[in-house]
Amino acid sequence: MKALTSAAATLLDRIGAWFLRLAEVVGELSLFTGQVARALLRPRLDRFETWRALYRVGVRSLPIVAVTAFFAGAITVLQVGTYVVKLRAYEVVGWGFGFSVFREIGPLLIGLMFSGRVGANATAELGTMVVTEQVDALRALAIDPIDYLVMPRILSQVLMMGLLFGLGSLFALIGGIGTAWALVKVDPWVFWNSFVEYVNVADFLNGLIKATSFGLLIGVVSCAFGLSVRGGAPGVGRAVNACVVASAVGIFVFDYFLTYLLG
Amino acid sequence: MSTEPLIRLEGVSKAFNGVPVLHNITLSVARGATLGLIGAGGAGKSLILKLMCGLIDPDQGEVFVDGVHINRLAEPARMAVRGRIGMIFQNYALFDYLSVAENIAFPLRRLGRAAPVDLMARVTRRLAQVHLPGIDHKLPSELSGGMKKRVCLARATIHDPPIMLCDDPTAGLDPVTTNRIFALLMQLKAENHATALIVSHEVDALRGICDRFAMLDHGRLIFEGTAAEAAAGPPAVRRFLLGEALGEGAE
Amino acid sequence: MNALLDILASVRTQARESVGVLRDTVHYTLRSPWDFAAIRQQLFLVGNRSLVFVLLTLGFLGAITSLQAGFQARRIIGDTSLIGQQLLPLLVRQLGPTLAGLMVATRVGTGIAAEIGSMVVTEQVDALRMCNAPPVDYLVKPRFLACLVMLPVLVIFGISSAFLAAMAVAASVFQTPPAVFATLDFVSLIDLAEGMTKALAYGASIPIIAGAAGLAARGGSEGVGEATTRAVVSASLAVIVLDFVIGGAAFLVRT
Repeated sequence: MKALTSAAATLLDRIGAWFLRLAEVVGELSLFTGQVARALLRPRLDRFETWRALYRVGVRSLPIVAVTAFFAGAITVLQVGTYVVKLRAYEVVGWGFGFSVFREIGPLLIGLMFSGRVGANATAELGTMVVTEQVDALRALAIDPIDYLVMPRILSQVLMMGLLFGLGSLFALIGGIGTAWALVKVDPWVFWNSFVEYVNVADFLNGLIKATSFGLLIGVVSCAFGLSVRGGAPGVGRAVNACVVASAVGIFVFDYFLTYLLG
Repeated sequence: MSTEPLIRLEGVSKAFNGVPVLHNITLSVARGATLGLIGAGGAGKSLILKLMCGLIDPDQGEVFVDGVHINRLAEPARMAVRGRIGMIFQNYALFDYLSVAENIAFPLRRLGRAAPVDLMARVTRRLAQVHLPGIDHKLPSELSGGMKKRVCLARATIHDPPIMLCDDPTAGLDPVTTNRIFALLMQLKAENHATALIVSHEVDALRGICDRFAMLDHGRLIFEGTAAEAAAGPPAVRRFLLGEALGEGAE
Repeated sequence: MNALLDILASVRTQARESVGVLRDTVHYTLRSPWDFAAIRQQLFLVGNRSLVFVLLTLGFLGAITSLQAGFQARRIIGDTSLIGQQLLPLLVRQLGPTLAGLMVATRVGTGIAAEIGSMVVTEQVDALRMCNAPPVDYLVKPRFLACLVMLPVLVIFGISSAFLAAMAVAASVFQTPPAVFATLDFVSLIDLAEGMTKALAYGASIPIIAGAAGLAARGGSEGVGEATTRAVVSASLAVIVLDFVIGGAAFLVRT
C-alpha cells in the first residue's frame, strides 16, 4: 500500500514538474511575442539587416523547399492516384492534386522544412551570439536586440514563406504532373485541364494565408529560443531541438484552427 | 633497450582550410625521454600530439609510433596502437554523462585490460594516487578545474601506457596545483617506465622535469635539444626557454 | 550560380559521410557486441521522449484531415459518412508513417546531432577514439537500433491518435457517428506493408543521417548549431524522398 502511494506521488510529482516546465516555456514565448508586437507598433528596422536577412533566408531555403515541393506534389499524386485508379476517374487527378497541395500538403511540408532549415538556423545563430556575449555587447551599445536582430528575421521569414509557397506550388505542379504521367498514366493535358477547371484562387489563397502564418510562428519561436540559450555549445544544440519541436507543434495547431476558420 | 626513437615525425606538414599550420616538422622522441614542446599560441603544438596518435593525418610526411607507420593504417588498426598511448586533452574531454569512476575505468573496459573484478579496485587506487579519494560517483560537471585535470591524468594512465601525451596539463590552474600535477605526472611516468611529451606554457616547471625541448614558431621547428644547448640557440629560443630579457636590437 | 554549386557540393559530401556511417553501423551491428544498457537508454530517449510529441502532432493532423475531407465531402456529395473508411487506409499507408517520420526526424534527429556534435567539439569523441571505442560503434549503433525498433511503434501510436482525433472532429463538427466512422475493412495488406516499410526505412535513415551530421561538426557552439540544422533538414528530406520511393513502389504493386 505504501509502495503504491509513493509511486503515485512520484508520478504526480513528475507530471507537475513537466507541467511547470511547459508553463515556463509558454510564458517566456508569450512575453517574447509581446515584445515583438510592441516593436511592430513603432518599427525601427535596420534596413541593411532586413535586406541581408531576406537574401540569406531566400538563398538558404529555396533549393530545399523546391525539392520538398517537387516531392510533395509527387507524393500527393500517388495518393490521389490510388483512388483515381480504383474509381477509374482519371479526370479528377488534377483537381485532387491541386486541392490537397494548395490547402494542406503544400503549406504543411514547406512549413516543416522551412522550420528545419531557417528556423533552426536562426536559433543557432542567435544562440551562438548569446553564448559569445555579442547580444550583451549590443545592449551595451544601446541597441535593442529585438529591433536589430529579431524583427528583420521575423519579417523576412514571413515574406519568404509567402514567396516560397508560390514558387513551391510551381515545383509541386512539376512533380505532380511528372508522377501522374509516369506512374498513374494520366496525360499531362488531362491533368492540367482538370487542375485549371476545378482548382480556384480560393484554394491558393487558403494555402498562402497558412504559409505566411507558419512563417510568423517559426520566426517568433526560433528567435525566442535563440535568445534564451544557456550553457555553451550543448545549450545551443538543446535550443535548436526545442525550437524545431515547438515550431512543429505550433504549425499543426495553427493549421487546425486556420482550417476550421477558413473552411 | 632499443635505441630506435619511440616516436618519429618526418617532414610533416598540415594545413586547415588552406591555411598552413605546420611546416616540414621532423622530430624524434627517444624511449624514456621527457620532451617539452613549447612555443607561442596553441594550435600547432596540440596538432603535433594528435598527429602522433593518428587522430589526424598529415598532408605530407610520415608518422611512426613504436615502429608502427601510423598514418598509413586504417582506423581500426590505429586503435590497437593507441592502446599503448595515454592522452591528456587540453579541454579535459571527460565524458560528461559518466561518473568519475566510469570515466577512469573506460579505457580499461574498452581495451579489455583488466578482469571486471579488479577494475574498480584499480580505479580507486589510482584516484587515491592523484589525491582524489572518494569522488567516484561524482559527475565531471561537479568538479573544479584542478580536480578535472587530475581525473584526466588518472584516465590517461590507468592502462599503464608506455607513451604519455600531455596537452597543456596545467592550463588555467593555480601555481600550487600546477606543481602537484607535474609531480604526479613524473611519478606515474617513472612507475610505468614511460616516455612523455608535454605541451605547456609553464616553461619554469618544464625546465625542472624535461630533459629535452622542442620549440615551434609559426608552425616551424626552430629548436630541438637540451636546455644547455638552448643557451647557444637562436634568440627566440633563449628568450622563451631561458627567460633572457629582450635586449636592444631585437631581431 | 555559385550558391547552387556550393549546395550541390555540400549535398555530395553529406551523402558520402552518411553512406560511410551507414556502412560502419551495419558492420558494427553485425560484428561487435551490443551494449544493451546503452540500447535500453536510447529506446527510452527515442520512444518515451517522443511519444507525447508524436501523439500531439498526429492528433492535430487527424483533426485537420477530417475537417478538410468533411468540408469537401459536404460541399460535393453532401454526405460525410464515408470519410472514416477512406481516411484510415490513407493514415496507415502514408500520412501516419510520413508525418511521424518527420516528427521523429525533427525531435530525435536534432537531439542526436546536438549530443554527438557537442561531444565532437569538446574532444570527447577524440577521447573515445583513444580508448578503443569507435564513435560509430559507441554512439551511433545504439541510437540506430533504438530508432529501428521505436519508429514502427511510434507510427502505430501516431496513427491511432490521428484516427481518434479525426473521429472526434467528425462527430462534433459533422455529426458523423463514431460507429459509422470507424470502419476498418478498407485497410489492405499492401497498405499495412507500405506503412511499416516506410516506418522501418525512416527508423534506419534518421539516426544515420543525424549521427553523420553530428560527427562532422566542427568549431564550437556554431558548429553544433550548424550540425543540428543540417541533421534535421537532411533527415526530413530523406523521409520525404523515401516516402515517394516506397509509395511509388506500393502504387505499382497495387495497380
